[in-house]
Amino acid sequence: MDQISETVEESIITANDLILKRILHFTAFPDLLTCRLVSTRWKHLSQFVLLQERKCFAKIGSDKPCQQLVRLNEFLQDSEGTPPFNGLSMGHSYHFVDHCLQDIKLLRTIYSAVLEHCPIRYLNVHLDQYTDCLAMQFIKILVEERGAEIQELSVSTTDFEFPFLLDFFSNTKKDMGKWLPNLISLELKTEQDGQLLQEMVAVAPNLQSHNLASCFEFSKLQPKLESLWISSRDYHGGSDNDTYVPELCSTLLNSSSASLNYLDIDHLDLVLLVSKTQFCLETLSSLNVDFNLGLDRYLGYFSISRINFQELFPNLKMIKISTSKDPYSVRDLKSIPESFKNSDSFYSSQSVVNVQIRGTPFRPVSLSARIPLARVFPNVKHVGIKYSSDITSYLEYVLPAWPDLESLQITANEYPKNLTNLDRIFCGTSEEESFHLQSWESKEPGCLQNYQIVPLKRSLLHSKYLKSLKIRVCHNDSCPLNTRSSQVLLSAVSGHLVFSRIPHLRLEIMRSLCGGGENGMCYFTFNDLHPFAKLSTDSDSNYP
Amino acid sequence: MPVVRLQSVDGEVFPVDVEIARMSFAIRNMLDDLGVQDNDAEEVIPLPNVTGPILRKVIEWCTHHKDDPPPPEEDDTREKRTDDIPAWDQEFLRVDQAVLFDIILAANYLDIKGLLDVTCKTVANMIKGKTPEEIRKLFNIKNDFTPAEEEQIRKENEWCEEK
Repeated sequence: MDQISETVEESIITANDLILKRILHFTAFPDLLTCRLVSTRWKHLSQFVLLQERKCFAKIGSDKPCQQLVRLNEFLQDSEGTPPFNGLSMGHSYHFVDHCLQDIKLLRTIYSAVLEHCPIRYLNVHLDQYTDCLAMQFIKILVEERGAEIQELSVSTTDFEFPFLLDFFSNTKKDMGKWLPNLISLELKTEQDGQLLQEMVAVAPNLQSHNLASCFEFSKLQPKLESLWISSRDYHGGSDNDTYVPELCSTLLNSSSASLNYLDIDHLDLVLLVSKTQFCLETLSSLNVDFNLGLDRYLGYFSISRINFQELFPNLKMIKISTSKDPYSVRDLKSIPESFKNSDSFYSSQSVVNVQIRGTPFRPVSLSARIPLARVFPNVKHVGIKYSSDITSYLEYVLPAWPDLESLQITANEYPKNLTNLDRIFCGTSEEESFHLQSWESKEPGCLQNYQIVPLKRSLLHSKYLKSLKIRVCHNDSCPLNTRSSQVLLSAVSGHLVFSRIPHLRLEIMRSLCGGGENGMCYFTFNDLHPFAKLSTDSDSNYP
Repeated sequence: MPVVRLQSVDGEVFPVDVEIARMSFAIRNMLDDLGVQDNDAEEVIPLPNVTGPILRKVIEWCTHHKDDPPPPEEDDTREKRTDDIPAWDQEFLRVDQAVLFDIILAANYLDIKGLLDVTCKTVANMIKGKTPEEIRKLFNIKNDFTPAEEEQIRKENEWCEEK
């Protein structure tokens, strides 16, 4: 008997999909599985979180894995709906040959069933013994035929030696550079030498991380890397961290000093690197810094301005500044040398022409007053602002800071967050005047064609060299059509008063699809901007 | 310091520093929509979905957190933690369940991400270790599964493993 009264409604908290999703976002894995059992709606939302945000493996244990695989196949064929797996974990220990299933037809059936039911983004394999059993063959086929889907691979073995593992994960040599094209993480738990790692890393073109100890072995091979990602914060200050990371970074940067094009580095790692290591990356053209406001607060100044770009990165063209994810510990911050803390040098980079800002790395109110970004990078011609929570403030900083701007890209999450009034910024008007102009244009389209405005502040019209303006608008599947009808993101006001008056300007506007998008019911259709812009929809840019 | 006046559904008016009020994206939008300038101290912002006692709590939280850095971007692959709620927030949220739920609703309505996250973490901690039936009781949820469906989900769960 159900103990919940029919007349009592579900708590107003969990009855709200957005709030329940947020609660489940923070719910531990075992509890998420429990939440699948609460009700149909909870099952649906828990499963969404499991598939999108977690690694949920279908587990095949090491005890007779081929027979467990057959049971998984039977289970999947009998079940309705999608199971909550997005990966496969398979062990393989010794079992007698007469317990092995080797039916090749059955293998294809199982493979089809798993293909149909499970995305395989994550693959864990433990190998202790080679047989011709179904489980072994299954892994080989999976890697061969669904390699493009696999993002993370973890392999552990105690007995197998190089080159057996390479042969097992076949095609590595003949498909050099194409093997597992979307692999971003490789973990090898083996005591073999670095050759295996070097071979496997060399054939996985997009690999971003593998475990630290293996990485250290890899660095001894003096690789000439073209791109490198350094974030010791991800190891959460483990005991290995202090031992490995500085030496590892130094070794990799030295061996790659004439080949490295792209460096992605945590803010504190960058500060430690430039203050403790002697290096010059002549070929580096792109630098991504995971900027942490807490670090600058600790130092009391804009730390990027204390980095000698001309000497360390003489040919740097682009700097991306992203929002860092974690606060630093006091221990982390104390590791900064006194020489850097007390430095009063101010450096600028003459070579950087492109600044990309992702998220909200600086508090907008600090931009003009305390973040001398334009003094550090005075020759910038291209700016990108992505997913900022305050696009208005960033644009109001960018337009006067770099008057010779040639291209500007804006990517905005406009719902459910704040709706930016781009008309106001582009036209340099007050909010009130902007609404007035929008209202006027909507009542009498085209009336602003010959209208002259006197901008109150720096407007897009002052960026007379601007050739390209790209605006990408992302929102989730809830369109603000009905709730925000009095507000406008961007309209023909900017079209008539700005876009049509900047010679050679190419304007592109992309928007993510929403529920009403295909029927013209989306709030962000920008229909009145057709004469001024290339408009398109982008199915891949939904609200992240 | 410029001030705005926030009015709760029951008519109570709270003078609040603009910088603190703007921690709510909803209020920030309203201020921008209304074209409220920093010196418009008499402007009253009505908040029809929030009662006076809850609004007082929300303002208290925002005031305490006004100098926090902007929240980091989401990274779905990172471990989700609920054991990192600051001591002050833990004490602040030591309230009746009904009040906690009202704060969540207010944080959602006012679009204050930090407050919504810390309250949702608190609820996630309430769920921790509970059985499906205990969760149903906690939130007044009706079990709409047939026994066969429930059995099917239990079997699916048995195959699941987190790395």
